[in-house]
Amino acid sequence: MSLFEHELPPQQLRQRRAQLSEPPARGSLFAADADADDEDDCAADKSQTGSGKPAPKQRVPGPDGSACLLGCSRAAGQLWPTVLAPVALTLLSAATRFYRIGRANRVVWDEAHFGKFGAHYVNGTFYHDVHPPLAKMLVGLSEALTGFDGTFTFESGQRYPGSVNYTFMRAFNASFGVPLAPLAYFTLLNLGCRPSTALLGGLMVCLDNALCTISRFILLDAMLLCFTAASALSLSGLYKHRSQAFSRPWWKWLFATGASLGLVASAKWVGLLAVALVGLYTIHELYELLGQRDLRVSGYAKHWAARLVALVAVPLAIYALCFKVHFALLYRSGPGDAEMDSLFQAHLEGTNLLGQPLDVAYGSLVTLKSAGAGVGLLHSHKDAYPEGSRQQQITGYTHKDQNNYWLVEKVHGAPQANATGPAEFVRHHDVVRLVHAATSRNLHSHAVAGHVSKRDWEVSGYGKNSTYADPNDHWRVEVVEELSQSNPERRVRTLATQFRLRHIRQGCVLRASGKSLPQWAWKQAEIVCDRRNRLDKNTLWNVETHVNAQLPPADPKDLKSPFLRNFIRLNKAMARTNNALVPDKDKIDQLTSDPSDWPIMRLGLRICGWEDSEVKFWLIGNPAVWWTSTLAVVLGVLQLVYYAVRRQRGLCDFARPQLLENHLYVSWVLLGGWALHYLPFFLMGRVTYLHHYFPALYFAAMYLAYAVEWNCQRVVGAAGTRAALAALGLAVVVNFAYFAPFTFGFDYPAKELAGRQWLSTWNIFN
Amino acid sequence: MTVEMSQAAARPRPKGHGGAAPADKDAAADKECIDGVAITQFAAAAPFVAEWRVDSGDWVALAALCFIALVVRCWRLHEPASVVFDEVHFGKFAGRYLNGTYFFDLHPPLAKLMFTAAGRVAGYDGVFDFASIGLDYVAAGVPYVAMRLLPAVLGALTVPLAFVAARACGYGRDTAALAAALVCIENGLVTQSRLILLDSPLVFFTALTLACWAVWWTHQRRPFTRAWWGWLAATGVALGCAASCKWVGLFLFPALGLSAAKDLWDKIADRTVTPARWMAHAAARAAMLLGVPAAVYLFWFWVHFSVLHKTGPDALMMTPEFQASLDGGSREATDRDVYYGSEIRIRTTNGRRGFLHSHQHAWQHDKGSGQQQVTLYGHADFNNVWVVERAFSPAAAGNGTDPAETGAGSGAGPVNAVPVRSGDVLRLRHKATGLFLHSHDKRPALAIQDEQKFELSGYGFAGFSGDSNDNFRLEIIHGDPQMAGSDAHVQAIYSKFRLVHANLGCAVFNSRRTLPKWAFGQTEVNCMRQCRPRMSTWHVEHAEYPPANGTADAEAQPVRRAAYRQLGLWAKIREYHQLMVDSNENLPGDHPFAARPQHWPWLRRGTAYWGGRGRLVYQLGNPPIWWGSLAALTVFGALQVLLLLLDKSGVRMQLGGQRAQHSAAAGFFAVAWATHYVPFFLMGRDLFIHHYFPALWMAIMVLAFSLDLATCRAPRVIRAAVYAAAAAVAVHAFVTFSHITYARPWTKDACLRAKWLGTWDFECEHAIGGALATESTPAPTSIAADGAAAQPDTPAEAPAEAPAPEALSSPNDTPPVYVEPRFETPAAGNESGKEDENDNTPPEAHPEL
Repeated sequence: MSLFEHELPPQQLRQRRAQLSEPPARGSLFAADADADDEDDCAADKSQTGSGKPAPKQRVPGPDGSACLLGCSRAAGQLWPTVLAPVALTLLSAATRFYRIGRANRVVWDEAHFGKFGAHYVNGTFYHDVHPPLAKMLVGLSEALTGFDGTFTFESGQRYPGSVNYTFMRAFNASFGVPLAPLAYFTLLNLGCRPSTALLGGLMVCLDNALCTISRFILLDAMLLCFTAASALSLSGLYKHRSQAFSRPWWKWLFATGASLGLVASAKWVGLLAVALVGLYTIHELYELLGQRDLRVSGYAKHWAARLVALVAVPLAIYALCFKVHFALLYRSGPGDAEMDSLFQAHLEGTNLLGQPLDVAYGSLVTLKSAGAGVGLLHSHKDAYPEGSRQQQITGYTHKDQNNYWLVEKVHGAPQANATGPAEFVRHHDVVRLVHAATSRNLHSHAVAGHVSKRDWEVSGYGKNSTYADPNDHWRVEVVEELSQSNPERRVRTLATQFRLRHIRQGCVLRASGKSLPQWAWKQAEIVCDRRNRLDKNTLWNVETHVNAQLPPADPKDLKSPFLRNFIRLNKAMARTNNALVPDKDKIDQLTSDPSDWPIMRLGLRICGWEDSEVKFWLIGNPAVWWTSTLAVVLGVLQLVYYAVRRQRGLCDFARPQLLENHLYVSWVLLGGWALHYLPFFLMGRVTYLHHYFPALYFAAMYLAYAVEWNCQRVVGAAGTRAALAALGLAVVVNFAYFAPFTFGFDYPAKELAGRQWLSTWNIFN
Repeated sequence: MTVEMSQAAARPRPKGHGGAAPADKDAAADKECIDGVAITQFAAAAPFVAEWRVDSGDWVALAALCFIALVVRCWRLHEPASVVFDEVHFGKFAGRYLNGTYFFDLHPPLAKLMFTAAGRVAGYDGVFDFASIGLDYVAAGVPYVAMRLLPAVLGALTVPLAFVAARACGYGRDTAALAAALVCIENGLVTQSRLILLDSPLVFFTALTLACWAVWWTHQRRPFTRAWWGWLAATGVALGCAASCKWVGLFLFPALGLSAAKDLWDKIADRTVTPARWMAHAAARAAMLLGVPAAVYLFWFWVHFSVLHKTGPDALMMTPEFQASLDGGSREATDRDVYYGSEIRIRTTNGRRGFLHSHQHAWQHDKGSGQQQVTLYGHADFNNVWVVERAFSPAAAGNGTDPAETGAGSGAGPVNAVPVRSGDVLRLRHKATGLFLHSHDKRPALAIQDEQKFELSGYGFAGFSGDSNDNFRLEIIHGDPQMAGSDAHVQAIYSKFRLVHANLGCAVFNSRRTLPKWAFGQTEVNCMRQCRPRMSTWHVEHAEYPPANGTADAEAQPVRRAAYRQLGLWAKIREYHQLMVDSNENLPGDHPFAARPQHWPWLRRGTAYWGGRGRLVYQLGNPPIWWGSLAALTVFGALQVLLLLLDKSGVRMQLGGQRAQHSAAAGFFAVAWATHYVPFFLMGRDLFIHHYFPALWMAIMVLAFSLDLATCRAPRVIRAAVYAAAAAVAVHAFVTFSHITYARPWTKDACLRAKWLGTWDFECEHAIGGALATESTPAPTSIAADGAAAQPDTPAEAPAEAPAPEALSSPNDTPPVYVEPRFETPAAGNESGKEDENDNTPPEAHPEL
């Protein structure tokens, strides 16, 4: 047990250190090569901050490859690391991504979804989905570039007709998968690795079967991975230049970081995990800057301001811009209308809501839309409640039909509006009566318990117009929010006014309980009169359609639909849809998997039909990448614990503190990136799939390459390191080739590949 | 990874109480820098090492505090003289313990056992059953005052414990007394400790744990001495008891765990501690803080199950094995081997309870096939009996019964009977109605959208020999390893199997959803494709092979019998815990006085407990104490962040020499507060303000410590004035709200004036002059809260079988005129129709990410 080694009293320790010219007490792990360190440390960082004294440059400054991107001079000896290696990687990457990409001529896996969403952009029809729009808009762009007419529906497994150039669409998508390998290469160089190590990292990313497979179809993952990799690269660039704050390259990397964060978050929400990685790093950096004595308050504020602009404002702007474009492209009414409020829908082509009269008057025929989620329109139909009052049912219904129409009438006893006289408008605090147009029942409530929400009062349809003249039919209009311009009289306006309806006698509020009624009410949303005065969104209503022959149509200028409001509402709707994707615990589902299955590659995923003659793809990783990277991550964490304990004990393992500092930083970016992109999935209630692990894998693979160099350098020296890197590279290549049929597709019976079923849990055949 | 580890070693206490840690000369000298890392050889690793020598002043203070606290807690203990709030549950449970009849509750047993002991001493006989809030104790002769005395005493003891904890942390007598005083006059804690509720024992054991832990720290300088071991063990025992009262006590584990981990981490830096010694430190803490509490917890469960040895109504919630383990529980044995022709009752294996059931009522015509309902029913009933018959085959369709042609069964049992084997295709005939268990391409009533689920029905009529949709393949999943052959032949109780529909490939599945009234609220079963085995596993609970045509077969070999195994203690505890977890998750969530955690610390509103003539009990805290403690925690957090940033920028503030002391002591209680508060945000169940009480006790400590810090450099007079003012404000509020704490008479005007916040909803109509004040019956203002949880699903459904409500009288006398479509293409079924003429099915959710 070397944990507490060198239990020497401090005096002796100092003596001993005086005897040993070079490093003081060092751990047994690295006892071998005291001298080799200076030359070969992966972490031999050139641009050190704290000490101020740059490390002596005895050998070729290899790890500066990426700097050449910024236009530095290029020595002849650097040709390999800076040009040839990345070019070779890119070519190899392109070859794996484009090879026989159009082979399967049918809709594979989630092309059914994302192809279809792309088609919505081509058609301009508004749709709703859990993902932010950027990546899907790019898919739409690829479809538009092919001249796709938007008629193909991308049904799962369907054969592509000749008119659809799916090969180009896939190739467009795959072009986002190509840069992954060079990005990993440059990231590792920035982190201080040697070119050969970086090359191995790039090779693993390039030749991982899973990353390759997922890039070759019309999916969002290639873009997500590409932007994630760009974030990691720019973060590493930022770190590299941290001592030269406010220099040109520093600004470049800072804004590159912000931009890539904006892109990755706009592709999929998983990208927010990359935002978290950068955010935590930035907080740490700002904290460390506090300790810099030579930094004045103004300088420190400048650091904050730069980061706020580049890392907060820029990503937010990009994210919002994507939605702006999204709304602009989808200008027609479509399947996603119901997720948005009436005012937004009114602006979609095909809804005809804009030409309606603006101010609601007595005698108007209206439909009332709830602001609550998934409630829809206030609805009634001939069926009666089977219990309680047994009066006519009142529900919330998400589809448009004749039973949603209500007449706005004056209270019983008051002179009713007549069709010829001047229109009398409904104002804030008016007491009204709502009559169901199809059945002439009044919207009614009384002290009868609700059907699902027993603590609230039932709402029913009662009386035949004025037959019973019951005061329980009277409701007060309370205007809550007004979105239209200049409304001094506080009139209730179509689409723009959010109001509550308060029952006069009970004092309760008309509210969607958020629950569904049973089968006897067709599982429509329950509407109750809330006794507890919970004034949430579910109590807000607005007039959606408005018919009144007496009144002129509204001026569209009065009904602006503010972008910010739509943006927030859509994001909330996305979150809700996302959370609703929960797995059925009773069902055996071959497609979903548990996060604990991923790092050990317990499951592969069939992403298309499995007929013998069909071209089949099986989503599985490269074992030489997945298993080894998982092992590296676990051992890496243990090693960090080991270092931490020894450091706490006051034992030093490193001649230069920068070595450890750099190692901690690299561990933080790569291990932290892995953990942040992996562990949160354990907390998510929603269904998870194998491909959710890919961003985490990207970090794990890079860490594996780094860890080989970091450890081998000390134990077996430079030559040994090269051998280890080469051996691992060879294993990666061989495994990739062995599993290549799954990646590039095979059209013979899966049984013939039975030998590749290394784990009993894999489902290659049967 | 950059761990800043140095701390000022010595922490002088200027005021002289609590011996100052003698500055370690060597430690100061050994401070050295190795590779830029500052190492303090003997850091003040301990959060709050202080020597506390108890002097006579402490004893006097303790005695005074005990006396005052007892008076405050016990005053008017007899009021109200009727059942209040959750006394409904916990009083009843005490009665059950006294009678020894089994019950289930979602809380661990210790607090309830303590009430039982108190009741027993006082002469409670367990007859009064605390049926509803407002029942009169006096008329029933229940010794309720004695039973309430227990929580009152425990609640009173939390006051001196606060004093002890503060003193052990190194604070002066004045600060310690202030902390104790604030605990003493906290209305919420007082209300809770005057009633038969679990929270008073919980808060007591929580406070005891923290006080023991604090005292243990004072022995840090002499580890592994007797006192050191003693206090550590006491901490463990108290911790175990807290967790045995309510699971909220488990939050002490992270609180103490973090404290211990921090200490152990600091000890690594201490080179006087050898690795072996460090290991001993770690092992001692692990044993005392994990092992001992676990043993205590299990011990109370052992007591629980030893006391509750008789079966009771709640036993129905348990597995049959569990029921068989109780005295008076069903231990009926059954025939073991199942043959073709056997009459069997089929039970769901992993669901709580329920038999495959059918009765003479039909699925609704508009939603389903109109054929006879098949459900899951929890009670013994002749409609649960099915007869195993051979599979339908078109060839044999003519002659209904086919003789056993595959030879005699193996082993013992009736001669010539053919045993049922795994993999056999068979039919199940409902004995009472003669119809066959059947499935077909119809959606079940509760899952009309789900393409993977199919309706189960009883089908057949006179002269009709059935069809191939009656055929199910029986697949044994596993047998009992000790019962040979139970994985190949169906054996009652021992063989667990699935019933897979031969045509559709779906398995009989317990959906656990409740059917509507027209199916008597029974549980739905359907046939589901691709279902996990968990809810599609069944076993035969009872099997009987009818004697062959009355000829008593004397030579027949003795019939093998089977019976449920009885569970050992460990298995019982496991099952009980599974049920506790389930009930916690499925707690009904609609209590009118439920409160979310974000509303607790600022006391948004309380809980109505009881309302009587001119009086009421309302669980509300002492507002200045709540708000003050919240402010103290906020300031503490902000201060720590500020200090961290100042340290980094090179400004080291010492807070008048109090910094280490304050950070360690207040920090410990603040962290404990957080671990007792934050996790509640993750709980979806109904929560109440009383869930905050353990955290409140810790917050009050932080409040007192903060006042100490604020006044440590002030003149003695100022300090005394501040303390007095704080106490006076708290006393004023205590007196104001003592009406709702002690059910003292109150006028409506005073009541309305006391509504400092508009959200406080105590019902002033109950006060004198209010509309409800003259009502003869006390209004039960609250329905069951906490413990209400998992009452067994009442056997109310039992009688529902016989009389059919008006709408349901569609007797199945005539066989349904329904021509069964031969099942060919599973996908091409007749869609269950659109609901409303206008209602389209909503667009499907996007199933991918």
